[in-house]
Amino acid sequence: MEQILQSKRKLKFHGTGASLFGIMFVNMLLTVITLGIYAAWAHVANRKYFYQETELEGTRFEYHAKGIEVFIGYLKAFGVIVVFYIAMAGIGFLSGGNTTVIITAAIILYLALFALIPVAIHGSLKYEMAKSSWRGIYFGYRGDLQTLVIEFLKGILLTIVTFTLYSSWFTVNIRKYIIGNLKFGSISFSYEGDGSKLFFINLKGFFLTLVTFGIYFFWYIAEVQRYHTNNTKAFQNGREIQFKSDVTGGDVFGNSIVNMLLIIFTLGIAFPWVICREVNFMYLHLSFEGDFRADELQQTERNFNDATGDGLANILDIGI
Amino acid sequence: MTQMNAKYYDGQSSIQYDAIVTFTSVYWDISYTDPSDGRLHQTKWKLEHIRNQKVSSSLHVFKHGDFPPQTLEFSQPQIMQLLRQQYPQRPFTETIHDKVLSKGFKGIAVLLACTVGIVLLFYFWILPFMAEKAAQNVPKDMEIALGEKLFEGMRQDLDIDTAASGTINAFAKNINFHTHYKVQIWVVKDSTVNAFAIPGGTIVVYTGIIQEMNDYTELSALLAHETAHVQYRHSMRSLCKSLAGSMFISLAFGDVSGITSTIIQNGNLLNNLSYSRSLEEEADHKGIEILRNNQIDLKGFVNLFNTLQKQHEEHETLGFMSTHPLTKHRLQYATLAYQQQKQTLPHPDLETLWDTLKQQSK
Repeated sequence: MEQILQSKRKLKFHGTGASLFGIMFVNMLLTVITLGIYAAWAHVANRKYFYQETELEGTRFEYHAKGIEVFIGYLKAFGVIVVFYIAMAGIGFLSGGNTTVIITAAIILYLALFALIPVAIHGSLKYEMAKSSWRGIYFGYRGDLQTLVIEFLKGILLTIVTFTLYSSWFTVNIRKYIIGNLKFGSISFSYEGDGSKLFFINLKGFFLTLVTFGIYFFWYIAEVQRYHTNNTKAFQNGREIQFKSDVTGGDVFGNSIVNMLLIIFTLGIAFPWVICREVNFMYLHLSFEGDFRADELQQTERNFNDATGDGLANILDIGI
Repeated sequence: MTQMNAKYYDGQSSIQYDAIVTFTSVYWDISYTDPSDGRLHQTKWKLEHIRNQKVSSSLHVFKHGDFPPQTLEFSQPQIMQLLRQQYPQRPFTETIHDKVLSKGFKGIAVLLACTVGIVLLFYFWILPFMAEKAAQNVPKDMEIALGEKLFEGMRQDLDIDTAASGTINAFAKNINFHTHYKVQIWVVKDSTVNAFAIPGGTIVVYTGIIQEMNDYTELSALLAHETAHVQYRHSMRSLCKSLAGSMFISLAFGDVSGITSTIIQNGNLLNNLSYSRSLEEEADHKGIEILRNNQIDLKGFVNLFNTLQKQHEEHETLGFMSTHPLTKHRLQYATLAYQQQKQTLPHPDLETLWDTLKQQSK
């Protein structure tokens, strides 16, 4: 007879501030010597450390990105931005002061810039997921670029028109699409948040933060985190695995204060230790409940080597 | 023949097999039992296709094949030593990163010293050299156009004395400044005791300094100094060096935070000030040569410096910070040149124009 276990699993972090400091310091030196070229390899080394020091069910995660792929991605992304600026400058020149031409061109270019963000997110996710694995099974992102761009542009326009009121629904829609298209081998994911519920959380957070001169902010952050996490699920062979977050405002408050003091009193040198504290904090409050069978993952995802999206995301300062 | 235990993943599913790996000269022989049916499986890994992915000193991961690869995980730290013994020809290499970190503090210290050394080398020698080359290669018409734009920008704030400007240009026409540039001088009504040159040939002289000077030799010295700045493209060189310096620093450090960028800006400024000092000295030397060639009395330079010295409160310690070298040194150089001057001629035309100018500048 099979025993179905409802167990609570957590990620475990083995990283230390000292080793991270070593990695970041060497990264900085090598980047300076190579006048910035090494930055791509530094980025990979950094991420690799976090993957390798994260353990699930006794096995560490793995990161397979290559410095050279990321570097070429940066160059291509840089090329895109350059073409962009040339187009903007070119239109400026050719318009010769004709205001209607300038305004229509500006609108088109701003739309194009907004469209670049989902392009960056899509490309970045495809690359990063294809370079992540656990026990030899790779992650993947199966989203479609066109769909994401359209969702994004729709969302941005509606947000502008409603003076940001629409933003809660926008957030939920994008999360739903992205998470719904993530794969971990044969495991799929879903996000089941609701725009109106998030809207009330945001509204409550906004007013209570004002009224308490900012103190409520930590409780707001915790509530949003719990909402997003508790509405995320994983599916393995028809079985549900629920993501759970038990983080409280008090937890966030305590953690943030300590981290801030550490940074201030060490003039920033404690940064690697603070990052490790942050990761430990995240893993402490995140758990997976359900019948997760570690042996039953199948290899289903494909390889993907183009890091252009990654480069774009970095240049546009979008974090994944 | 040597063996070791490992965890094996076949790249098709996440099942963790307990495997025994045998290291032969051509292959890694892997055998594992499938827990579901108890059967023994075997597979071979060709040496050429094995990739090393060190996780930590206690965990070594190896991959075999293209996407999706198979995985072997060794948790015994002796694995690397065993591999080195077994396959002396085939180093299972680590990244540059690991190599540096594995040397511990010594490795990082060496790397730090190298980085600092290279940065200093660049900043103090290679960069100035490149900036100089760049400045020299800026085409003359570009430089003149730049100067015109700069002057256009300044012009609104300057109270120009057109009559005096006419006189001073007539004065300048009587001296051979040995310059390829078309020199255009403007007199500005301002009590500041100073004059400066803009790239391309424009020179601005304040009425303040005209008031302090006593005869045509001093004005000749001043104009000779300023035209030397123009001829030898000092403003262009200064600009290039300053640009190159700040660009290099921000490039090397990537994203520069607010605090660091302010420090960097001021640091770069200090470096620029000393560059200006050497340029000022060059302008002195060339200016003195011009006066010598025109056979104008070099006492003009000596008197000019004495005038300037009266103006500036001299602080020995702040010498490093000032844009002009200590007037004492310049004075010594000028005095020596004056004493060694062989032949001078009278210049009545310059004298009359000087008198007119002095009148107009009141």
